[in-house]
Amino acid sequence: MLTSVRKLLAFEMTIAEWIGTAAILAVPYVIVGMVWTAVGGDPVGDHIGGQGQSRILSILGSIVSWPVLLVSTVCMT
Amino acid sequence: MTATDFRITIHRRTARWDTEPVTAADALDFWSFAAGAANVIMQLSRPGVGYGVVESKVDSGNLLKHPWKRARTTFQYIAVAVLGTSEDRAAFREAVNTAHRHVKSGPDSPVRYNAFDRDLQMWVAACLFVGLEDTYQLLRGQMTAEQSEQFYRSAWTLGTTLQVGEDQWPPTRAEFDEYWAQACGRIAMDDRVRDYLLDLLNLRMINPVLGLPFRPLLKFLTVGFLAPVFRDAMGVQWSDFRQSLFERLFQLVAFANRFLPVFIRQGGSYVLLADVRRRVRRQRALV
Repeated sequence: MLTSVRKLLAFEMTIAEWIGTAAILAVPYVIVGMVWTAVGGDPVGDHIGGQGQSRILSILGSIVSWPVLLVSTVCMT
Repeated sequence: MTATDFRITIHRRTARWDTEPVTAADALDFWSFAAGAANVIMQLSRPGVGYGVVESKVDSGNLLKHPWKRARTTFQYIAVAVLGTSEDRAAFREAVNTAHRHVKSGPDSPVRYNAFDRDLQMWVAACLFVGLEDTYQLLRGQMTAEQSEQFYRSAWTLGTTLQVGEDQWPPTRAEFDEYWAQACGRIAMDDRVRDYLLDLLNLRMINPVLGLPFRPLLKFLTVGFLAPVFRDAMGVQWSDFRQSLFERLFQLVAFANRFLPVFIRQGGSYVLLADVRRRVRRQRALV
C-alpha cells in the first residue's frame, strides 16, 4: 500500500503532458457546464441576466462554475 | 540494393526534444500499432516464417481465423518482452513453445521450417525491433547515436524471450544494419504467402461492417511502413505524394502525442501485461 502511494507520488510527467491531461479533463467538465447552463439548471435565481456583454459573461461564468452553482442551488432549495 | 531499399526513408519528421537515455519501453505508445500489419508482412517475407504461418495447424493462433485473439497474444508478447520481468517472460516462453511445437514443415511443404529455428526467430525479432525503432522515431524524433545504441540494446528481449540467444543479436546498432541488409537478401514471397497477406491487408478476417471503413487507412499506413524491398515483394504501389502525406500525418500525430500522459499512451500495453499475470495466477491459457 505504502509502496504504491510512494510510486504514485514519485510519478513524473512533462509540462506538455500536464497540459494535455488538463485538456482531456476539461472536455467533460465544459460539456457538463454547457448542458447545465442550457437547461437552466439553476431554478432559484435567474443567473443568466443582463444584456450584451454582461449576458455573455454570465453564460461563460455559468459554464465554468457549474459545480459551485450546483451546490448553491441544492442548498437553497 | 542500397540501405534505403531495406528501411523506410523519412525526410520530414518531428524534432528530437531531449538527449536523455531511452529504452524500447518508450516506443510502446499505442500509435505504434499502426505499423503492426506492416510488421507481419515483413516477418512473413522470409519463406520459412511465411510458410510456417500459412501452413500452421495451430488454429487457435491463426490470424485469419481468430484475429482478435491473435492480436491480443501478439501484443501481449511485445508487452511481456519489453516491459515484463524475467518470470513473465519465462511463463510466456513456455506457452509459446507449446504452440510452436506443432509448427514444422511436413513432407509436402515447399520450404523446410521449424518454429524453433533460431535464425528464423532472430529475423522475426529483428522485424519487431525495426518496427519499434521506426515508429518511435516518427513519434519522438531521430535518436542520437548514443540513444540508438541504448534503444537497440534494450530491445534484445524481443528475441531472447523465446529461443534467440544474446549472441545472435549483432553487438552494436551499426552491425545490426549489416545483419539487416544481409537478411533482407533472403526475402522471397510467392503467391500463397502473398494472398494470405493480402487477405490480412483487406481485413477479410473481421466483420466487413467493421473492416471496410478502415481498409483504406490500414493499407495506407501499412504500405507507408514497408521499406521498398517489402513493397516490391508484396507488389504494392507507393508514391511521393503518399509519402509526403504519411510524413505530415505523423508530424501531426507526434505533436498530439507529446501532450498525452503515459498512462494513456501506453496504458494498453500495461493492461495486456496485467492480463498475462492474471492468466498465470489463475493458470489459464496464455496463447
